[in-house]
Amino acid sequence: MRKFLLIVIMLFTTGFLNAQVSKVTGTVLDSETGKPVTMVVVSIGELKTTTDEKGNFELLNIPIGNSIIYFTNEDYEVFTSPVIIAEGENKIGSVNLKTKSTTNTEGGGLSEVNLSTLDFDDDNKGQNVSGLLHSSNDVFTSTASYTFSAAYFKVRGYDGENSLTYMNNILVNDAENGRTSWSDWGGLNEVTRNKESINGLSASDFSFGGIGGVTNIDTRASHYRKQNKLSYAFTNKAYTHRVMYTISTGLMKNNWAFTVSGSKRFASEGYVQGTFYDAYAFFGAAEKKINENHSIAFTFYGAPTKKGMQAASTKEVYELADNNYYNANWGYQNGQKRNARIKTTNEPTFILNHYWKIDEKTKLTTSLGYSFAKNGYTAINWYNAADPRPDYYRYLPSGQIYISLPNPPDPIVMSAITEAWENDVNIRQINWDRLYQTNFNANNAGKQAVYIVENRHNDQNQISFNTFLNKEMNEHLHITGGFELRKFTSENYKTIEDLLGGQYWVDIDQYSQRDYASDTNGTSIMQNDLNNPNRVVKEGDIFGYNYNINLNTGLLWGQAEFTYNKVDFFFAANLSGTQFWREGKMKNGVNPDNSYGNSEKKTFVNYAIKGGVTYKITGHHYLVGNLAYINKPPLANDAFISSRVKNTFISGLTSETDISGDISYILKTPFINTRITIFQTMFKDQLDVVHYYSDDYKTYINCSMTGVNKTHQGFELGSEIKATKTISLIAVGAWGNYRYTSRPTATISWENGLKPDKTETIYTKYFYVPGPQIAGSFGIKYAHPKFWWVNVNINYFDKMYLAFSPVRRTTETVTQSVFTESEVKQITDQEKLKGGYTIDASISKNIRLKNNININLNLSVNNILDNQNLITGGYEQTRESYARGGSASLGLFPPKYFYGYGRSYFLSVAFRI
Amino acid sequence: MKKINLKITFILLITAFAVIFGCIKKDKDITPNIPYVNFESNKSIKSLIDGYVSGVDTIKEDWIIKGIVTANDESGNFYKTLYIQDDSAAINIQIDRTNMYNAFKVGQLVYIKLQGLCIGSYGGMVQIGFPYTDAGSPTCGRIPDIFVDDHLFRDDMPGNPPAPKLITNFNELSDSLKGKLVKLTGVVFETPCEPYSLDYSATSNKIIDKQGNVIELRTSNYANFRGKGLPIDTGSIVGIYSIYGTTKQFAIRDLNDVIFDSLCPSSFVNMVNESFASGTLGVFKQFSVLGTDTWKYGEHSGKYYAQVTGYDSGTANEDWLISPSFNMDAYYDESLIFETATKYDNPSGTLKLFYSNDYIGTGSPVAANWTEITPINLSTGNFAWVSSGNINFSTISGNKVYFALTYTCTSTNIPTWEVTNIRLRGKKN
Repeated sequence: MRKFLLIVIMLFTTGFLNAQVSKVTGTVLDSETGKPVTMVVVSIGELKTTTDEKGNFELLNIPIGNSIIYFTNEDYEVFTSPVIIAEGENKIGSVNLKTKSTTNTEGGGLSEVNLSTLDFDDDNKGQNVSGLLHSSNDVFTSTASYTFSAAYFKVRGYDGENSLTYMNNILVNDAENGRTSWSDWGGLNEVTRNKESINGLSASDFSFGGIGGVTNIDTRASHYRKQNKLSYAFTNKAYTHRVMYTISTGLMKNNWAFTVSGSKRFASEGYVQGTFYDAYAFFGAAEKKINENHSIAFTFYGAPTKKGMQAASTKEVYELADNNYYNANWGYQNGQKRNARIKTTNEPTFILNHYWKIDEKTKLTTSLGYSFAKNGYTAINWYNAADPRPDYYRYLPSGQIYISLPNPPDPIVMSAITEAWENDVNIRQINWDRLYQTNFNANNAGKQAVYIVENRHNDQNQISFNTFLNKEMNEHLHITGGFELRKFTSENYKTIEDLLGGQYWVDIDQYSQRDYASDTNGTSIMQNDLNNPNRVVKEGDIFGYNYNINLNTGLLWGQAEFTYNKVDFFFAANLSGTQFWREGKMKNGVNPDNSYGNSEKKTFVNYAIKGGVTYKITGHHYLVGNLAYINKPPLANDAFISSRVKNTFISGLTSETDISGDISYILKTPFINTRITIFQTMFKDQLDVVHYYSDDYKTYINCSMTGVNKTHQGFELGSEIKATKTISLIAVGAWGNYRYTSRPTATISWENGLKPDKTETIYTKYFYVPGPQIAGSFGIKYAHPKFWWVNVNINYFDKMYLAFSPVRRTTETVTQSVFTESEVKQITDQEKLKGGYTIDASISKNIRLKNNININLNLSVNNILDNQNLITGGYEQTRESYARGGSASLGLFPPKYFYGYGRSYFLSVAFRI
Repeated sequence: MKKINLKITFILLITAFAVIFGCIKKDKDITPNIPYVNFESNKSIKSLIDGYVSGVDTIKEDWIIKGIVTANDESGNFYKTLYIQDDSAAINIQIDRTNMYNAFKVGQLVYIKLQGLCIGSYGGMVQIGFPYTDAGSPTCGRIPDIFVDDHLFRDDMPGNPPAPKLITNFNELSDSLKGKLVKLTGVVFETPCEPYSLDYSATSNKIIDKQGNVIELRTSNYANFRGKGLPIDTGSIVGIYSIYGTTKQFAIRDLNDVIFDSLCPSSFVNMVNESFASGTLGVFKQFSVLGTDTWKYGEHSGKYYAQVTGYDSGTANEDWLISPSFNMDAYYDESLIFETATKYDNPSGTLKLFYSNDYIGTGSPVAANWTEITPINLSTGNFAWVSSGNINFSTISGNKVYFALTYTCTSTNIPTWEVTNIRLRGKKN
């Protein structure tokens, strides 16, 4: 709560002498609890003091006249106010500071609200959140990470791998895909709230960082305020109920501090039909302050989560189901909804930290981390049987058009299918009963199960070490340096999850079995594991594929920050080495010579430099400029042509080079807090791999691309205006132009080996990077002195283009039939999605009971106008039938979409003692 | 104390609440049930076939037939087709579904409600389908997936299929046996060790009975046993008898239907099997001794081949299509077989077959010594594909043997030649 303090205090003291200086006194209190806050730095100009245990402060020798007084403390939002200092004692009275946590209570905090919108089918989507939990001082980033996340807005369009996240100084970005999985600490909002976030290229004192910025979540037990908090929330998003409990001792007199937190989030069905949610989270932190110079901290946490996922569908399917939240992944089994695609995640992590204050100006922070992850994702698999997915194209009315080509479809059949889809839930959803019946028939013939549910595992194991030194060389120079090491292994395999009443499954590749039926070596080519041919597997057994990815990396970095009156500047550089390789555990029949054992070990040596200048025009106006040149190793996930079956690396595997710069103008007055930024980032030599199943050629096809270049340029504006003492207005806008700027070279490789690898050029120059490139928000915040807050904002998203299938933009594809120029354009143009706007509102109230119990109530409603037409994600289908259908087949396999939630709410009540 | 009690109560209450809502149930198992039919059939298959006259006959009456499944799509040899047979006759049903064998196993009793379906004829075989009115003229096509369960009903679990009728003389195969399961005994194959079907097109292989009568074994190129070789000696074979026009045909369900003592030895291998489907000359190389035209890859109507013509340059050409090398000493009973097609001008003598023991493997073949193999059975014109038949290579020895097809044309006589499915086979030593 920002009160607009206009203080005119005239206290006459004796002394009409040249009393040019005077003193300022006051008390600082917590706006929620009313309790005094200690260790708050109070400053006017160069003069500083800190509040004592009673929250009192006294500033001496303040010049008379107009000044600005600042109150800063890590746990609270910075508070400033202009003051007019008179002679003698200026009693400011009590100043109420708002905790950083208070802003985040709206909508339940950032962690899981972001996650709830991400429970989608695509593995990558679930981790792609711009979980930029930046200091709420910057209104642009706090709006971008909360409000804009509903439309999957990414700050500056950057992929998640460009933003680094540390948990108590241990890097937690996934070693294979580079992204941060916020779900690894989902439900632990209370204890992951303390963070230090650096936006973009600015300097941090704990890491070199990335182009998108860096965050360190602080889990030191001594940094949690003493509290005992229990909360319950009720919502209709990805989950329905959430219970969270946190108890912190804060630093106690015996120099120990403990924090424990736990939560459960669950739903038998979330916002999207057929999606359930079952998540626990646990957290523990302990810290011992050995003496003034040494502290040791230990943290452990985990968030075992199990949820049913949604599949993207085409417009035709959403219309047939008359619901933009239709989900093809579920069906009724014994009257209950059963989802075929269940995602389980859990990454227990253990961190040990040592904080050493070597002297007043030097500190060394050392951390050791160990984590292991058990992740799985189920799916139905079938052997020589009808596709069990209800939205398989042949089961749809549009499928009839394809089947009847070149003739028109039979209208009787079309209407029968349409009617069945609209009215029969066993046609519209998975018919589990039929799957069990089919297996029963197979059992009677002594044959293997026809339908099964398999679970695709990605289990990880990681040890990390991080140490860095901060040293204040003199009043102008602060240097930091350190090194990080990481040793990582992932185990990738699949197991039989459920035989669906069947007796067994035989581990062979049914596609190779069919393709190589006439080959004398056919029976060995079709083996998934030549060392165990035709293995009979049952529930829990590993089958199909089995390989490890090993990755080791080390990074050395250094930084120098210079602070002067008018200008600050810094330089930083890093040098890193990365090595990774694949270790195959199965000898694959199609690739017998390069699937079992270790692949070549690829090593990369990389470096980066960055620098920035801050020019302080006045105390209110700043100009900031940053520039970076970063050379990064490729991601392990993009480096292999087909890691499931062979050790082969993509050709042209190389590091990427990024150049990025931004210039910002910042205005900070008691009335206005504004930042305007212009930026440009060029990514060069990125890689991408796309795997898909081709119906025409009946094999998996891997398309690995090199030479992917992108340029992201744009503006950002974030402004918060204090209109009155209770009302603030916010205006936030982002305009971007994120484009691919090259024609990548693709190697198209048939997994069944029936055709040799082919090189093609992908004609996607100047295509748009998917995601909203325009986003804006206008909001009003009202803070009533009696501890209630109201917030309303209207948001707009536009300039969104759909993720595209690279293989469609090759000469080979468009020449499969004779197409006119406009037809070629229809095939190759990138689809623009329709923009839209939403309105959110929230209201919170704090009640302070007599025996020091604090109750916080919060109700937030998102997308009040229930806009269900905002497409937030999706992809083009790779399947096409141009060879067979020519012009008549254009548009037969349209893109699949995800829609953003309609009206959703979040109601929470929290008790704090 | 009061504070703690309050806390504990809150915690207990909320935890209880959480536990109640939190129990996610494990999926309860489904008990499969045995299908059963509670109505009767009222027509025999024979009377249905006898009542068919011509064209597309849509059935308006509430007729119900029943039969036991004798053939389905399990091996891939029958596509979107089910054969059923009752005591009177047999008929096939055209169904637009794949992998139907999962529900309709051989030996499964099926009832069919015919009202709304149609009867049609294909090559003389009567079949049940679904009436379509494409562009005016009606056809009896495959029953769409969405309607199948309205017409076909399974009764009970699969049992034994009907016993096949024993046939020793193909002249006994009368119209009453059309579509039925029969067992041909005392038969041989005309081309033992040939594959049941080539990869790219369905294939017919001739079966000969003791009396010398011939029937064609028809195998689909999607059959999963297509690569196996036909048996060598005399034996029995079970399958479905059908006709196509005036030709008698036979099709097996899978290799369990082939009851012979000497199956083709697995040591009979293809040393080379080039169909040019890769879009290149595959393992073959070409060399132009004269002229600028070359052998190159071609494709027409799904068939791939190597082709050559002097038409582009209009001048005299001599172009060689050369094989990789073979160690003939490691095999015996080798034979070469390939298909050719030709058109334009006078092709006679313009395509020849040679082999060599001293070609170096690259560059011009002129320096090496080549022996012509003649006569060979070639296409005579009109792009009609002709098989060369088995060309005996068993007398050729050497550990680095090449063979080549040579094309020669003049500036006035320029035929086009297409060659494919070049297979050199032998038995390993």
